[in-house]
Amino acid sequence: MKRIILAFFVLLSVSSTLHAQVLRPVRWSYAAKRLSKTEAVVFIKATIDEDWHLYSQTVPDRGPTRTSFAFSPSKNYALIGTTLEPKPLTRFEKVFGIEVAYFENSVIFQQKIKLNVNGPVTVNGSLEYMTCNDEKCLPPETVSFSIMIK
Amino acid sequence: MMALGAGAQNDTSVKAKTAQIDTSLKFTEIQKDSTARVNSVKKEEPLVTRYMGDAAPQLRVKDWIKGKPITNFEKGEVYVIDFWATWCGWCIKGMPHLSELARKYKGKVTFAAVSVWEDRGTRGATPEKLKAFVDGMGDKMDFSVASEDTAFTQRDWLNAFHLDYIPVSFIIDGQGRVAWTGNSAHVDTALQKIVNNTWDIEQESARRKYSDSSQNYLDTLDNSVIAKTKRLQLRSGNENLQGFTDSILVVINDMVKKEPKIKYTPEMASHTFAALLITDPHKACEYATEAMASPYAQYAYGMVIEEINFSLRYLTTPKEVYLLGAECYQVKIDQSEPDEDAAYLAKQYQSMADWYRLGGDKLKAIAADKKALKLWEKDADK
Repeated sequence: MKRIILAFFVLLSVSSTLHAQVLRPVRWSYAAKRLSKTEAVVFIKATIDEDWHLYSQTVPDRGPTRTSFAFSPSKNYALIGTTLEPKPLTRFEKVFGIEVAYFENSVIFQQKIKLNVNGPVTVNGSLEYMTCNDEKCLPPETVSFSIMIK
Repeated sequence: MMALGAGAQNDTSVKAKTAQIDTSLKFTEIQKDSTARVNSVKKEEPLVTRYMGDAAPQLRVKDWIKGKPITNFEKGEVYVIDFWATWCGWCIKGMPHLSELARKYKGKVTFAAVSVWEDRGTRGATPEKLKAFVDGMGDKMDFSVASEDTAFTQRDWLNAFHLDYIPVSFIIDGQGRVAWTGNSAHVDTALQKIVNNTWDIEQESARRKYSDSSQNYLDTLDNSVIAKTKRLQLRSGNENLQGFTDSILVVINDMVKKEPKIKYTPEMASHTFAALLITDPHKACEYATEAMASPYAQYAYGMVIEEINFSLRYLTTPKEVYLLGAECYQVKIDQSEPDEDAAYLAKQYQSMADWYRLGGDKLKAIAADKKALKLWEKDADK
């Protein structure tokens, strides 16, 4: 009847039906920015929980599943170049015999788009990724996205 | 401002200038596509949730790639079934250790590794690549190896036990029960006990119940008592202490009825004990004794001392309560660090002596006084 700990109250409504723990260490979000009438950039952001790793697009086949993007073809837009990523961290993984590039905390991927029509354009596609922490891995996931460029 | 694109140096075709990331960009969360996780599970057989201690499910796999197939779990035999994938670094890293254990327990424990999730995404190995990988591992995988049957293996094992990561191992005991589940890196202790027949599945289940994620749920429930009773405090305006206390106890009883596991959680315990001190001190002592025997005992001792101190300001406290408090001081002292400050300990003994005296136990009060004195001397010598 003293000590008032407020921080936990908000959780109550969210977790009242919690059963088994479902790990979701990587969450994805997107944004878009128009550069000109005919060009735009879509940003796809991964927010990564502490201790978890997301793998770079450059990881070779022998390693963990790399992050990859597949944009649906459309007559409304075309991709300009490949999906770019910031400089990843790297670590030599003896078990794979390769240098593995990965991200921590958060990473923003970006894809430049050429717009073929006037007005809003929706860019559809999916991404694939997997994540590991310091003792386990979650299976590769596919996430669909639909990004509107206003 | 952060310039992107530096990491794509491998791709020489992309030299185009990348847009700077505008800090004003508003990101929209992508909701996870829940259908992406569903495998080609046959509809007619719904997912069964299984728990540690349950009979092991049948091990249905696609192919046995290496070693003798495991067709069923023989009584009297112990099994370790490891789930892994070629893209999982921790799984591969753990294989030599599992192989070592397989050799150590040869004749007593049968080991097998079952590959899963190779069908996920674009990286997974084809059956040929999987076979080549296993062959390449040689005696680093010194046990039977199978590939999953996508219709059954994951559903019957990983999903049924709510495990969504790898490497995961299951230990099946001599009675055909799942005696342990967890990260394959941690099988050693449980395996040894299971082989020696000294493993207590119930105890392990109970331990996990208090340490797994459902603990978060209990913590949240426990904390909600603060909000609920604070509201009552505002309502009663604290003029009617008895009425206020009664309504707190009604709230608490209601909460415990819905979730018995929170009967002794830290906040619930302090609210219950404080309220009972007002309405029925004898019951308060009984409750505190129960709390000290619960899985939340570590919180109970300090709580009892605090609440008694708090109640002294406005309550006449019966002897029984003082004696309980004095005993709590003893536990608190016993549990303190070996290098605990002498002056601090002396104060604890002094408080303990005061409460023994108020509780009517003069001998114990004198004993505690003596200990306090000794510690004060020790402190003065420093």
